Amino acid sequence: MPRIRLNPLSRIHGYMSIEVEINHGTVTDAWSSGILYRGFESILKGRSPHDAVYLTQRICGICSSAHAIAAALTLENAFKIDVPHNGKVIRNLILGADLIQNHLRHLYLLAIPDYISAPKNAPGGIRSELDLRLPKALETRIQENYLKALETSSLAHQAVAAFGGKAPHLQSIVAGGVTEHVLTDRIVRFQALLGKLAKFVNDSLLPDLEDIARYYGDYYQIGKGYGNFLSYGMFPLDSDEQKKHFAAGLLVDGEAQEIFDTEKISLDIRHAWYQGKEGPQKPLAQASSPAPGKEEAYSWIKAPRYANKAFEGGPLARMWLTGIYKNGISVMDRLMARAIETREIAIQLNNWLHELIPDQPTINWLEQLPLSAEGVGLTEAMRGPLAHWVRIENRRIDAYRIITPSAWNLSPRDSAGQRGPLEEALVGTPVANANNPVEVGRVVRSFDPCISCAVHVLDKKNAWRVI
Amino acid sequence: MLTRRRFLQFCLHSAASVSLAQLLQPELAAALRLLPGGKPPVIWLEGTSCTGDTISLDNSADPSLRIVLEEIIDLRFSPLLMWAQDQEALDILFATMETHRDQFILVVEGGIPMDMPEAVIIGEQNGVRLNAKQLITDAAEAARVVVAVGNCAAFGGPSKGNPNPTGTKGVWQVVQKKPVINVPGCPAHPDWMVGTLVHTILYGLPRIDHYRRPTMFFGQLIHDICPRRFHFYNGKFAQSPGMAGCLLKVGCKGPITHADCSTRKFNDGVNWCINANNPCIGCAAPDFPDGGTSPFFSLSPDVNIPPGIKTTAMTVAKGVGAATALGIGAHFTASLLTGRLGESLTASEELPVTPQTCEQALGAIKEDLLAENELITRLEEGQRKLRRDVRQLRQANLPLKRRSILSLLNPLRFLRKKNKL
Repeated sequence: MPRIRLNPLSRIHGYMSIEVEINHGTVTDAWSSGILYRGFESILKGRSPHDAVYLTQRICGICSSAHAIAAALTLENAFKIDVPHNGKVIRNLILGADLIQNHLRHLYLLAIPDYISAPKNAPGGIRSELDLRLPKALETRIQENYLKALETSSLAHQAVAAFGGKAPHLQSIVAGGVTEHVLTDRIVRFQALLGKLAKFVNDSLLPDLEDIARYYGDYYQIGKGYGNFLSYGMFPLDSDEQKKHFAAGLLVDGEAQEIFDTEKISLDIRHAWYQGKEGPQKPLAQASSPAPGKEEAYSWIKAPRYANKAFEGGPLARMWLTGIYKNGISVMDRLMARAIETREIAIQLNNWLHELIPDQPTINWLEQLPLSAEGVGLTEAMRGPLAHWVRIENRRIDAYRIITPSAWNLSPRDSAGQRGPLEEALVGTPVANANNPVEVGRVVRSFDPCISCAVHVLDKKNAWRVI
Repeated sequence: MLTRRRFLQFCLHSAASVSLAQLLQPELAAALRLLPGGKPPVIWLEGTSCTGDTISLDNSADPSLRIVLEEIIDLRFSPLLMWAQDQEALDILFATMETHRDQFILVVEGGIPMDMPEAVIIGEQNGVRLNAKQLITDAAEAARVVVAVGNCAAFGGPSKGNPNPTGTKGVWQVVQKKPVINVPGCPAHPDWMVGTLVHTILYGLPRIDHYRRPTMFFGQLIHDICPRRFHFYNGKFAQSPGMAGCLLKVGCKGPITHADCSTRKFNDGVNWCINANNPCIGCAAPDFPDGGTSPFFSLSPDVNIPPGIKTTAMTVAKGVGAATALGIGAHFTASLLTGRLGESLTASEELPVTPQTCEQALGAIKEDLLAENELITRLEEGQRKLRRDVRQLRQANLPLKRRSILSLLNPLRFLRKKNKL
């Protein structure tokens, strides 16, 4: 059976390659490889806990605010401190605006190019155009919106910067709250930018995607995968830390499951380029070192599992769990859910903006850090569930672990041979031309892959030098 | 015609008065259109990157990325933005390297993993994995000029953070045969990237400093042009992040970081780090996130002693360390308050001289730390005395003698004198 490998798979964050086995025009098996490695967790070791908020952001250039918030939650959990009302609201505003930024950029810059021909001046636009179905007039309109999105998406980052200092890699989130104050000019600026973004989402993004969905209706049947959804919940309410605007939850095969338990999360390195304890391991107990030549391994991404099952995260999972969009599970549903979530958040942000109270504190700064502590912080990032763990010894980071959404979505097989969610979703994808499998690219990009996020792991001080 | 001089003026003052766009419409556009051969081809490669600089480029407000693509550059290859994928993407890459040899501009984002080439694979051809180390070096040799954007490409950045798991290096430490311009920052400001590209296209290589950074953007210390500088003069220091005042005591790295963030600001001038009441973490500094920048909220930075020992400047001074322990960090803390900062670091031409022996290094650190401690004590003592004196004067209801009070009111006067401010 012929196997083909797509490498580089452009229009994703970081470097990724996909190998698929094609039999009679259908994908029968798939392997997803993250081929970018930096080793962030070992860089964090020995540093001041506060540094984690800023260094973990450098993992990812498009979802930096999610890492900042996850790291801050982790440290607050370890320090046992609370965040003032304003601080919580500002964090929700920052994450919401960054989510709009991410979704606009993913849909227009990375995903939609799979369905239309390249406009003039598009970067690297010379390609054989295959399976393009949109009539000329529609295509021209979407091409124009692609170019507009290059400009509009930066407005979302301006909104992030209004309360975040700068974006990407913001500079106002700290353990204990937010350093930026609640100033009326910021509120007004944020609201004005939000208005422009909401207009673009309603007038361009949603109609464009609906048109694409009309001509690519078969993609409602492609790329289903396991149907296992996981969400940690995002945008906490101030009144109750456990309650969130987007609730946490689990779906297995489309059925709602028991309450989520952090203890059931494990990591598996059987098919990843690492040496260490094999089999499912608890995140903080998992120690491994890179082993690029390891047999049977094919990715830098470790395999996270919940109760030994592979789970998918992201806008579709969140929209299912909140009940806002429950059409199906497929390539097109992932794109639609992303667009609908963008609209939903643009509306919600406007409401949350009114919760801010000027001249009230935004930060609860802890002067003396505890000598030793452990903490965990869970939030939803743009692409799904994001968790950070920390162990502090001697007021310094002793161990730091991160499981990103892309690690969930793009994970390789585990010890039991169970495929990752993307690999599973690829199985059954029809491929018309094995020399240029555009269909595979569409399935992969519906997950909004981010290899920069997915791979960042290392422990066991310098052990790799010996290998 | 748009002269180089005028362009530089725009770049230097754009933050304060006009934006790059006002210059672009219509002068720059016209100048670029007149270029023989049209827009220059650009290849954008990523090493150990987070794609943050591509995203930052898309944040470019004036000109927007759309204008950049339409009017300024012909972006042929970019892992994040390009439409083609797989073999077709690599075909574009190699065709451009071949047909535009010594003409195209190579932009590199992310560092080069020297000790672990398998860490970054850009693509695959005929079953061979093309690693970033090899491909970036090859592309650099074929390019006209290399622009390293972001701190990782320029100096190794967060990917190089101690203990540097992948052995990452900045592009200029690897590429020898072609000119490399460093545009650091985490991420680099879009104006810095676009400004450097435009200067290279229209006028050739911009003037650069010892770290190969364009002086039009990195010629000054953040601290020197900081809008909170007067708080520093007046001795009004924030006690924790989130407070007004000079953020030096909560770890601001503005005094060791060359960049014009203070006046340019980020995201179309909406905000910037210090304006958000958070100290500068030195993300454009050569050794970020080490070399005196970490811990970000501490005035006394860590010193890393290979292999794998982390300590503070204080401990080193007690005699535990070795000569290699001397980073900018130890120097920074001390020289800032002794006033040496102004003389040694503001002028980028005069870099601090590295001590030759272990004894010299330790001696220097010890000396600096003692001086620093003494100064802090004196500073606080002075402030206490001042408050007491003012209180006493008020209580006695004596007429305030203008001259003596003024001299008392500035507890940092000795700093000022030494800094020649």
